[in-house]
Amino acid sequence: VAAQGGLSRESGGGDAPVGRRVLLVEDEDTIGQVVSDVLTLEGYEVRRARNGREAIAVLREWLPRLILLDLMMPVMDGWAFRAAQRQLAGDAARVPVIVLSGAREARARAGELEAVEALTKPFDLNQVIAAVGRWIEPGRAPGE
Amino acid sequence: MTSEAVAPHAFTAQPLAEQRGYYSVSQAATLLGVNRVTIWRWIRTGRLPASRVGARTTRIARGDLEQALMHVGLAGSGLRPVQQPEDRSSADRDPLGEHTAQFYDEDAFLVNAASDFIAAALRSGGAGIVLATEAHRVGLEERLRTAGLDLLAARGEGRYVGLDAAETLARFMVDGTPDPERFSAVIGGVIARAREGGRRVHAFGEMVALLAAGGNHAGAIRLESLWNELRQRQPFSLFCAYPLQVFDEPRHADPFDAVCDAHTRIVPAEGYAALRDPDERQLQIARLQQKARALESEIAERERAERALLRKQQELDDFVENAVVGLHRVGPDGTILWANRAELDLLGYSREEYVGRPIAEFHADRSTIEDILRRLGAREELHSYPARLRCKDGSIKHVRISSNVLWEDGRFVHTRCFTRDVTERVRAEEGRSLLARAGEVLASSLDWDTTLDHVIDLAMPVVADFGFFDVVEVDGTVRRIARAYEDPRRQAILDASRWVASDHTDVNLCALTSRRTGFHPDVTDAWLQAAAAGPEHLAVMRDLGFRSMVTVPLRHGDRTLGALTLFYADSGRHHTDDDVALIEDLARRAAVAVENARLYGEAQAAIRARDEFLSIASHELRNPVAGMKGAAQMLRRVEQRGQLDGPQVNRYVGMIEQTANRLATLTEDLLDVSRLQQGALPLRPQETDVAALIQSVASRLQEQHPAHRLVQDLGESISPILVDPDRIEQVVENLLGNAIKYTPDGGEIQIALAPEDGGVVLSVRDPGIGLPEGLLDQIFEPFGRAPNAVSRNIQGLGLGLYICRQIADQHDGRLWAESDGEGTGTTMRLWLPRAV
Repeated sequence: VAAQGGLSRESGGGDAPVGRRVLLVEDEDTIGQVVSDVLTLEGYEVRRARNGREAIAVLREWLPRLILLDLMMPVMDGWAFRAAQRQLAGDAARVPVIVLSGAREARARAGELEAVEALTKPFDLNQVIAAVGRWIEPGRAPGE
Repeated sequence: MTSEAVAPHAFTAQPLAEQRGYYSVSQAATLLGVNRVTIWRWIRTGRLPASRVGARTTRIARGDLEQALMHVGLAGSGLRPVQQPEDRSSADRDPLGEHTAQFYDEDAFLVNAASDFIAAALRSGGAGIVLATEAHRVGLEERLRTAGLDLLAARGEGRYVGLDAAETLARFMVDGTPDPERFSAVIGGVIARAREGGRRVHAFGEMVALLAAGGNHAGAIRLESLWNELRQRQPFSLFCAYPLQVFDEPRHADPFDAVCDAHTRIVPAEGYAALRDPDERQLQIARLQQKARALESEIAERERAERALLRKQQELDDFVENAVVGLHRVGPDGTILWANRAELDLLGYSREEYVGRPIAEFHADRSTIEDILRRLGAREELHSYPARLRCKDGSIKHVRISSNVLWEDGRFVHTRCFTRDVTERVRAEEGRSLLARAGEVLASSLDWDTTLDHVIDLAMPVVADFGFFDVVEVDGTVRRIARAYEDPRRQAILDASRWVASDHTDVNLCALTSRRTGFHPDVTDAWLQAAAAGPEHLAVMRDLGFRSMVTVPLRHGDRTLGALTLFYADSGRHHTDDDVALIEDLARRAAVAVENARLYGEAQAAIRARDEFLSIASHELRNPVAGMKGAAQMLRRVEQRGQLDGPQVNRYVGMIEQTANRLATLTEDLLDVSRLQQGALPLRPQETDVAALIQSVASRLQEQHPAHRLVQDLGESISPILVDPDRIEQVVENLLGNAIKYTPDGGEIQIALAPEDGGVVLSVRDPGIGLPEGLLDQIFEPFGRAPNAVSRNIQGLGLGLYICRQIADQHDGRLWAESDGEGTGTTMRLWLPRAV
């Protein structure tokens, strides 16, 4: 696969290259699977968390370039996650976030959460690919 | 005595009387040497016959007069007819044995007359005695010397004695009365020495005049009689001088007569005595008579006027004192000089407590009285000036003051204040205005606390010094909203106080307990002790120091929303029936406002709940839609890449199918919720065999969930009950489905149906994840899901149990959850009556 080929190229073999990592935080299974599938298809390395607490646990051991964050989730919602994320050590605290949310509040929430972008549900997969691509260009460092 | 002895000129003025042989009363008095009063007395008592001529003239026949003359002489009174003194200056008239009363106006005239009298005695070789004031004696001696008399020689020969009248008087006066023995010793001695060698003696005395001038008329008369007695024993001529001013008042008429009675000869004062011409004398007498009559009528007129004035004054005093309106006078220094009954009654003070005090003490507003006094001082007149006065019992009277100042020669004498009591009117106005303002305040805000706070603020100070609302909250607790008028200390006590349910039945301390008005206008410490729930309560009530209280319930329909309790303390006022009516009115309005605020609050909460519901619902709808859309797009994307294979198709189509099912269920549930909330889910009750219904649902689910074992104990003889079978089937399916769902690891689900409380109860017990403490009710809320279910990723919207409970409620039944906590399983129970 061309995308995966590119991915392997950048990673230089061994561990997946940090520059193609995306953390998807979404409790809705169908959305989670579909977004995860399409990003993988586009050559990103995707890990999924079902709520904020799981996401924080992932961040402690796995540093992505970008986080796709649903807001209304059980256990730890998007707001609580962002607060917890900022408390993390090192670069994990500065990983940029794209908010996935309901139509009316998405943009406002993005501002509240200092997210770089907001995607309004239900979104097109093309939008997701484009948004992720904007923030994960080759050579970009995390947190830029 | 013969008629010749009577000076002929004395009759010339009355020739007719003489011609006819008659004498007037005045002439008779002169002839007999007594005064007219004595003549009149004799005429009245028949001692002296007289006859009347016309209306005014009384005449005495010459014969009768002579008889009287003889009678007088025989009576040994020492009185004898006196020759009319035709020439006062003549020294050769011999007044020996005479007792003359000389009246005078001017000292100079007296000194002349007295010195002539003394000089007559000295010139004829006799002796002179002077008992006079210092001034008169000096003047008299000077005049004697000027007349060529050698007083020094005369004194040496014992023919002249000059004594001070006052000093001499003091020698024989005892307790305001001349003592006969001492008089005899002092004066008798002087006379006896003067009479040595048979000398005739002229004595001039002013001692009697001194007594008369000092108002001691009785003493003067007594002294005259002592002189007369002395003259009986040692004949001498006595010349008494009386200043006319001693007898210048009407009340002196009697002493004057008595003095005249005591003398044998009366000499009028110089105005008459100085006249030489007999005609002039007659004219003078006529003038004096006219003047006397005029004076008499003037006196009478004056007395009448004085009586009328007095009567008028008394009437005015009476009127003012007993006027209905309060009156007072205030001096320039602000002190109350006088107040009438009405004013004292109005304020409840005694005269001693009010009069003599500064008026400012009785004004409730210092600035008001200061302004009143300032305006009055500036010569302003006040009309109906509003003020508040403090009564003795501490209460306040609203008054209107009308006042001005009495000025005399630019001097502020006193104010004249009318005080009209308008308390009732003012109170009524205050009440009306209070209710009007309450209407505004109550309509202005839908926030309870603000509203009620404002109501108490309004009540102060019109019907309260402080007060509180006890408001029943939605959850049944009571919250107190208290306000004290500009009194932080009392506010602190109130803030610390709480509503305590009272078991008192006899004392109504808070209408919240009694649900009726409590009216205690006279709160005493004994009453507090009787009313207090305990020592702490008593301490708080004593600390608040109230004297009067009213507590009224805030009612709406059958519900008691709270109570309004108002107090009077420092103002000293006590609530009246009118106050109670006003407070009840206020409470009624407040109750409506509270109820409105409550309804508004409920409406707000309902709106919030709806918004929250919509927010959750839209999220729940959007997620599956987003998932379906994404799955469909993935199908296309993978297909475009030529990578689509069988498992891929199954995967995404399965996702779409499953999500569509979820959407269908969700839509169904939302519709149910919507209908339930609108009350648009009508029941179609029919006789239903609930046991059979449960059995049917249970066996269907058992087939789908082989990992769980559904154990049924449905009783043996549960007769059909009246329910909506479709709705109850929905509930049973939900309860059994939940039991299976929340027992993710499989297990035994126990289903039981039994009669209970006149209905039936279905119990569904699972051994699943259980419910955390305190969440037994939350799961029945819309979207209410237990966190342990969520964290285990057990799918669900949180609408099912909400819908079930609504259905149970519609059947007049109950649905509830029981659990001993997380991990201990859950029992759901549904109780239904036998008939809806």
